[in-house]
Amino acid sequence: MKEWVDGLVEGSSLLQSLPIEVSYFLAMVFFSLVAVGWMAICALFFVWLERKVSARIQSRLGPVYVGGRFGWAQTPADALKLLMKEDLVPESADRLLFNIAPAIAFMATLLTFVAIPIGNGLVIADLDIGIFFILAVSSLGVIGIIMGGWASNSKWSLYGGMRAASQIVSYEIPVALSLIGVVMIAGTLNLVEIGRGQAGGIWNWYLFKSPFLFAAGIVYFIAALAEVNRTPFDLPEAESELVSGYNTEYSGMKFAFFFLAEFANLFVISAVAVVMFLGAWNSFLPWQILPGPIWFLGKVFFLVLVIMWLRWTLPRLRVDQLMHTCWKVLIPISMVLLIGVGVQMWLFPGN
Amino acid sequence: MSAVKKYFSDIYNSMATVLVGMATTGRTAFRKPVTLEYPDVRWELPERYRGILHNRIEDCIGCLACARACPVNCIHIDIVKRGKEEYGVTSDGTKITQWIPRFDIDMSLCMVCGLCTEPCPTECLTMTKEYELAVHDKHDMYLEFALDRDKVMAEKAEAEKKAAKEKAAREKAEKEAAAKKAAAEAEAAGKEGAEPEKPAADAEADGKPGSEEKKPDAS
Amino acid sequence: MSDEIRLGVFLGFGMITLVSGAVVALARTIIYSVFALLFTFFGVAGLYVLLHADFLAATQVMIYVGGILVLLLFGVMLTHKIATVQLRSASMQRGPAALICGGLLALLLYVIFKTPWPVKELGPATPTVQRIGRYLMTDYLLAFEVISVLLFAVLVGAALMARRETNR
Repeated sequence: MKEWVDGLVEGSSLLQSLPIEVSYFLAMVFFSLVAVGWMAICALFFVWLERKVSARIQSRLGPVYVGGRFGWAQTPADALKLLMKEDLVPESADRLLFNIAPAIAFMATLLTFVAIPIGNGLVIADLDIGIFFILAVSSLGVIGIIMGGWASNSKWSLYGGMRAASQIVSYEIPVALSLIGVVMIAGTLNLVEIGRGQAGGIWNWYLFKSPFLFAAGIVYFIAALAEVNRTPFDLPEAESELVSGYNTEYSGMKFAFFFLAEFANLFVISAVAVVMFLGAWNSFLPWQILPGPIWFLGKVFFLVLVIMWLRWTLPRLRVDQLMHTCWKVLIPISMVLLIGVGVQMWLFPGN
Repeated sequence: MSAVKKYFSDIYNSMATVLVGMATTGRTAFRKPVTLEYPDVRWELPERYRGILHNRIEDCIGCLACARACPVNCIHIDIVKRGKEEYGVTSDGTKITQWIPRFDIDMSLCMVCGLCTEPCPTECLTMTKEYELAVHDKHDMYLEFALDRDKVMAEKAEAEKKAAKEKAAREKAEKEAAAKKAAAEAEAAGKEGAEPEKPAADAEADGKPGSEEKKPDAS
Repeated sequence: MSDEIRLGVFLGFGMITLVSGAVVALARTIIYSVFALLFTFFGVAGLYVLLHADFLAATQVMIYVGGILVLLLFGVMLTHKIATVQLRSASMQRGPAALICGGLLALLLYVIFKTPWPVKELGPATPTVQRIGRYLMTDYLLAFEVISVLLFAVLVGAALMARRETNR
């Protein structure tokens, strides 16, 4: 981003007349808006896709009318409706926390968006600690969920919040452990560097570079599903048990924020999987055929499709099964895989 | 040892069965959707579908068979017997011998059993394929099939009056033509001219309740 | 970034940290204290970023916000009467407490103003991750390992305490 802004400032006489701080501030505002817009587009598209995929799997049609063909304008229309609805706060809710909870959940997702590279160097904030930053700020979302669940002063919400807390805190560990293997091989936390390290064909993708990393990729995928509350790990918002979980009492714009964050999280986990395991923006051939962002978005789209496919295939886990899966299966496996990657690096140095 | 074996076989089984499930849902995803886009596309209804009731009142002879057959008494018919007077014939040739001032079906009571259509001798009461029974006002559920009697009678009287006038004019012209010929023929034409007034007077009498035998419906 | 702006950002993060820290201490509702702690951690993370310690800032957010704060929330929520929003903390023995706190404040202020702090000009932002990794695996290996052994022991102890005692 800094290079772009520098180039922009040099190129424009209007920006040159401003103090450098002001132009940087304007650039920050602009790129924040870009992140918000990109996030909203992703979320709206994925909600639409979810409805279409679920419909097709159940031999239905899904949205068909709004916007002419394929009902493409269904989700923008729904979002507009949510924004215009009355802002309800339950009488016995804790007003302050009830109001800031959706903002925190939304912000956590938004912060991850600025660090995800869409193409080679095409990233809003090229952070040295890229993947670590994403893991750190995405753990913020759970605070918003607990806050919303508690502040609603409703039993459904509270149970949803508690479940979310235990689930997300647990599954953060296999997520981090499975990603460390890639960080070890890449030798950097910077997402752009990790992406560049996978250039030159499908055999250079970290998923296929080592059997341990292949397994780690699967572990990451499972654990990441749990971390964003997707089926089969959607206990925090189990419709059949908890009405809607932590967002039961929410309506209108605040609900839209929770909902947007949830679907934008789909993009985040898929994008992280793509950058870390699936060769980021590189094509599967040794040379780049199409522009990087197309490859990147194509892979993300594929993964999101798989996640939705899973959602409409599997039933929900029980709480004890959820904890069993995390603590007794995923964490030991990811630790073994971590050691395996280390051993591989020790036996075959420089590969 | 068996616990260890179970641990790994559980992992294998969970992964394998997830794939099996995904294969199943993946196959169904490419099946033809069963959704019918309802207001645009509709089901092909079966031949004997029982929808909303309809009565072709021109063919109805007011026999009350349907009202008697109705289990929930939702058909209300008033008939007026007119003796020898004929009101025309139905499309299958049956003579209509009574006037039907009221033929109402309360669709909010109707249970759509179809028992009323079976005894109908002229096949005028039928169940249509119309299945969208919802209305904005519940009074719209109350279907009135009887022709507007006053209007029909007025039209009839008008027509007869017109016919009489034409006939009178014709007779008059004939009379004038005949008067030139013979006075005896003119006397006979004057007798005939009074005759058309009579049916119109009868119609007036019909309208007064109690002036004729009036039969309420079977309820 | 000019010094004035740096100062402004520093004051901003400092204010966030101090105000939310005061809320943590003074709020009568326990849950407000816990959530105010979120902003305290954030303010501290912001100060780290201002000092070009990005790894430390992310660690701060990850460990404290993602881990410790959630556990605190868990603790609060597992207390009884959670179903009611009014969950309050009482303050008692104000006199002795004020005395002790005042003494501590005086001591800290004395330390702050009397210690010759080694002040260093802030250099350009450089990658910190590799240096941290190298130091942890060389110069500070012993401390690193001792901490991990300690944490492991705590983990085992916690699991042991949490276990249902049915085998005895």
